[in-house]
Amino acid sequence: MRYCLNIHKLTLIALIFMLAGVSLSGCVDEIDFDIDREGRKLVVSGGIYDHDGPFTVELAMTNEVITVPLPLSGANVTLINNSGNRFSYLEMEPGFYSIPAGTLEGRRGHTYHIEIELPDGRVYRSIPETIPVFNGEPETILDPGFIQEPSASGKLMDVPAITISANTRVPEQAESLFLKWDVKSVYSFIENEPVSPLAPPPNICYITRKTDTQAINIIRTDELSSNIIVNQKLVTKRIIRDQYYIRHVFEVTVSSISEQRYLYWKNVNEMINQTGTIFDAPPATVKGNIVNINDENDFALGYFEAAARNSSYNFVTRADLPVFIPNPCPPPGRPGPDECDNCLLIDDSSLERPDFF
Amino acid sequence: MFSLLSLIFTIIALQPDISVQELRANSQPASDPITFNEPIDNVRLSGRVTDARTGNPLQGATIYIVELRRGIPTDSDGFFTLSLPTGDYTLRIQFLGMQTRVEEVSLTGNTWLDLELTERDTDLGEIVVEGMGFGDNIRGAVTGVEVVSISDLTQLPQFMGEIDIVQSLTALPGVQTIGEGASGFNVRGGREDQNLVLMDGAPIFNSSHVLGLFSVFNPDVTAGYALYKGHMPERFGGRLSSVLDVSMRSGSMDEFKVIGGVGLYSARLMIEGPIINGSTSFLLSGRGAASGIIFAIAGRDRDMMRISLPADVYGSSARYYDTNANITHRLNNNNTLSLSYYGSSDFFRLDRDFGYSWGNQVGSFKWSSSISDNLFSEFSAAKNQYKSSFFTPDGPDAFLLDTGIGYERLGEHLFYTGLVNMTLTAGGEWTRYKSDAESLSAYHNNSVIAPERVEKDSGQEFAIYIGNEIELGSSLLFSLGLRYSHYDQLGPGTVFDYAENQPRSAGSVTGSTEYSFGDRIISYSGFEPRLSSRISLSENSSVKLSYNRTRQYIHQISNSTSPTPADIWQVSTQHLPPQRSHNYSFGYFRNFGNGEWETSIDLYYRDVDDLVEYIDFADLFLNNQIETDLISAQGQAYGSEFNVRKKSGRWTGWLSYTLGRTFVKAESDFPERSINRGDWFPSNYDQPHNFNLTAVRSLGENSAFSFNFIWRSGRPITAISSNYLDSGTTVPVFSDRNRERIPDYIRLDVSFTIADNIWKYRVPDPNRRISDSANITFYNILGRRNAFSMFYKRAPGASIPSPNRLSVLGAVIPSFTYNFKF
Repeated sequence: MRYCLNIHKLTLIALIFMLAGVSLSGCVDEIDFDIDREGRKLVVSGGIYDHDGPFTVELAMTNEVITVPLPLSGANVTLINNSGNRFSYLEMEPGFYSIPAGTLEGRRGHTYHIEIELPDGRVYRSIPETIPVFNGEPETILDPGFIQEPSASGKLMDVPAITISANTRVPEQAESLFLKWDVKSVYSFIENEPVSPLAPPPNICYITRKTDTQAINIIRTDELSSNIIVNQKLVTKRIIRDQYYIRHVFEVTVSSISEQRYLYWKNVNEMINQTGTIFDAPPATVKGNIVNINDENDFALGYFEAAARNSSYNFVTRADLPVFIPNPCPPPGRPGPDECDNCLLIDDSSLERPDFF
Repeated sequence: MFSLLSLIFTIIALQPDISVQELRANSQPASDPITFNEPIDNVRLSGRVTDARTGNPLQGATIYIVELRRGIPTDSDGFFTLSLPTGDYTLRIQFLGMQTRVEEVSLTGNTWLDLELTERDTDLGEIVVEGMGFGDNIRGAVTGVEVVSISDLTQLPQFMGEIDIVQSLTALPGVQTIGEGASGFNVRGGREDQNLVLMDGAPIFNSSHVLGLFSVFNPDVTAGYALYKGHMPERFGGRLSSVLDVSMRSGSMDEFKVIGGVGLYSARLMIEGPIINGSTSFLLSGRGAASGIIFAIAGRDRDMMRISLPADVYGSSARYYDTNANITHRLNNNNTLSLSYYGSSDFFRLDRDFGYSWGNQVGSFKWSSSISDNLFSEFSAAKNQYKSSFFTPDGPDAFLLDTGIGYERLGEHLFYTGLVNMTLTAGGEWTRYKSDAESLSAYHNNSVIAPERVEKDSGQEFAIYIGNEIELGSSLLFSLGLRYSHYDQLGPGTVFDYAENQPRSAGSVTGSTEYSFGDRIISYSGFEPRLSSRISLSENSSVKLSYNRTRQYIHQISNSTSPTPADIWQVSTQHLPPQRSHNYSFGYFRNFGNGEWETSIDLYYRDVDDLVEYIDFADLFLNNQIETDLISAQGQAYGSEFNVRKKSGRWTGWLSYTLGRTFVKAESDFPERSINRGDWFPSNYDQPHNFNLTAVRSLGENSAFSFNFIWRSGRPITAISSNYLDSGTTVPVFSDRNRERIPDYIRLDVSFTIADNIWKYRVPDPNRRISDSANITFYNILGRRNAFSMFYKRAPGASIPSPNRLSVLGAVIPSFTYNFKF
């Protein structure tokens, strides 16, 4: 019995490995990729809800040059309810049309649509939608903690974050509802005390932010076995320390929408969450509910919805958070960010205190 | 029907062997060979070539008449027949991986030969990359067929250390895949579900492990395969595009053997041997892949490996195992029984987002019988059950969706060689498909998902066929086949009626009809002619033409980039007619240097009716009116394949180039359902240019170096042309379907095989030893980030999404496999 090793064979194997210079590298990367763009598509975004306004519609037009549509001015926009009453929108700024608060009240069970006459004479009409009679009742749940995110070097790091969830009760008498959840947050920012005792007191700004607008949370209740949806995770948001020094309020709004609007969001969700893998559905433009009245193949992008809305609120202070939150502004007299002297410099800020704050 | 066919053939076969002169005197014109103007002193030489160790027929073995410099390949059952003048001949019988056998034959009358070939001693170490035997490409009647022995593949680059049949297919002209990680393959513009994939005659629904990275065919148990991509012989049917006929091995009748291999990603072991020496054998194998290790390593050592994969990859998991078992029993010299089983289990999870599990269970029985010297029968029975699950593990709506399909199948194939210059085949097959209900359930106790169940359709398919290969002189060979297929959709089921002036939708239902178990709901049937011919232009060149009509009664409903394991297999219904295609092929073949160099040009054209296409945002799961999301389309594929192959010498290999296009046209009476306004548009796998160079260099002592270079056009995609805001959400606007194209795919693989024993273990019996080998492959050694797809995502802080490229294997993938045999 004899064992022997063919040394030269193993040497060959070793050499092969040494010569190989193996290096694994990234698998997802951004690339340049340009295509022929299609222009002259009308874009509509707006809706009517179960309150007394204001109700807005935004109009824009796609173009062949850039990937963002340009605001469309000079259109006539009219809201029509199921009684045939017509309400005209006013153009508040380019592409932004509004029916002021108090002009009419959106009512559950009532049906609405809009008509849009463009400056070039084309007329579009939305398929009528009815504000649903029933809606879910949300309860906002906040859970501060940490999440893991890759650093610039690719190493996973613990990052402070807050997870916003909701418990939602669905009315038992509602046969089938189509629900969508949105999260908004408002935090306050106090300017530094002025050095001069004669100066007016510092302003308090309220900054409103939509939280991850690409996270689309929708459910159809006829797929559920219970009328209470428990601990539904909606959004996880990184904690930006400047925003949590004082109170930070989260608003969870649940909208009861039409089946068509639900399908629209479902399709949008599928399109914006494509990962390039084999699991992706073939991409396609999501069709809304607005069509050229003279050409049924000419549909506008976007949607005009009729929905019922309910909101709930909850807040955290810096004491609730797992990390130390310093004052974003240095002591008076020391140089600091300009916002510490004028908080209106912060994007989306207002001096008007929200009712719920 | 089978009995009737058997009887007819038995009557013909039981006639005593008679001379050509006697045949001429025979008053039955149907069997009179004189009608083919044969020389009066010609006699018939026919026979069968089998593996001496297992008794398996050898498809693609070459019978070469040295004196006439003429030969013929064996068919899928190992049979051959030749018409020769009387005289003395030297026959050379060759098959890859087998010792060449030389026989001296004296032909004075019709002669039958049973030829057994034995394996070469070198086994793991042989350096043979020849494809079919010398000259087979010129002589065979069938165009567009690739016959490959498993030993062909041993020296080629092996992805993740596994010899993989499906991976190897994509190096052949006319065969492509949309990219790594995609299940299945596309043949001459056909969809993945249009390939009939057979494991020892039993159709397989999903031939992939780990989403296409491995195939279900264990190389230790696989004898070889034939891919029919042009002409589909009449015995095959039920798919439009191609047949991949994979032959599995039986166990050795005379000695025990263990074969195995251990690699970085997988391991396998096979045991075979006699149960009763010389008459009964067994074979048992198991294989598993720890491909989850890739994800684990990537997660743990990402800094070291400088990987920047998406974060969700690190929480992902993938694994599989499969088993093969076979018992073969020789009742006597004329009858062999074989019982086989294949089982597999797969699991794949992408982080906490979603996952799949799936598995095949296939049992088959085969009875091969020589009824007489000229008549052979093969009876087969098979049962298959394919199950798959799709799940999302997290959230209040976490769900589990189960689906599956199975079939029972009976078949009888007869082969008659009793006529001069003619080979007759006939047979029939019956398959009953039974789809499992789609079943939705909550994935965990906190999920609010309500259970739901949607019953699926069932059907049966029946086919009979007859074929005749006729040789007219030395230059003309015709293969004439006719297949008749019939399909019934069977109850129970509900058939919905729709308003004629509206698109089909839940809202346009005008009524419905209920059917009970076994009721015939609708039937489809039709003839499928299979015609092929070869015209020899010289000893070294020929042209071949073929026309095929094919029908497909079962469809993989897949609205994703490529098929996924959880796709529904849907039988034809009243609203989903069978897909039908006309396939045309023309080939010119020429050999040089005594057959050392083979060249060919193949042209093909295919048109398809009632191709299944999908409306935008088709909702295919838990849909009991699936026809509302489907649209009947037309398909068209055409192209040309150029191939140069070097079959012997220190350098062997092939170079191929395919220029082909594939288009779809989905036009509806209702414009909103038409795709791209009803215009022709490229299919997902339309890759006009496909170039491949595969070469093997012998390094002596049975070691080899090989490389494989692939360049092909990027596949079509649908790209974002604009974006808009709706309620703060950025919504993409897409171009026409498949209007754009991802960058070209380029890859170079390098492989080293050290096939002479690395370790030698000698026992007192010097004739018995452990033989071993090693293979080292660097897949994608250029480290090129080939795009599998393009998708759009917003970078942090950006308002609009930007294009991103996903490279499934955008790196060098090294592998090392140690193989052993004793």
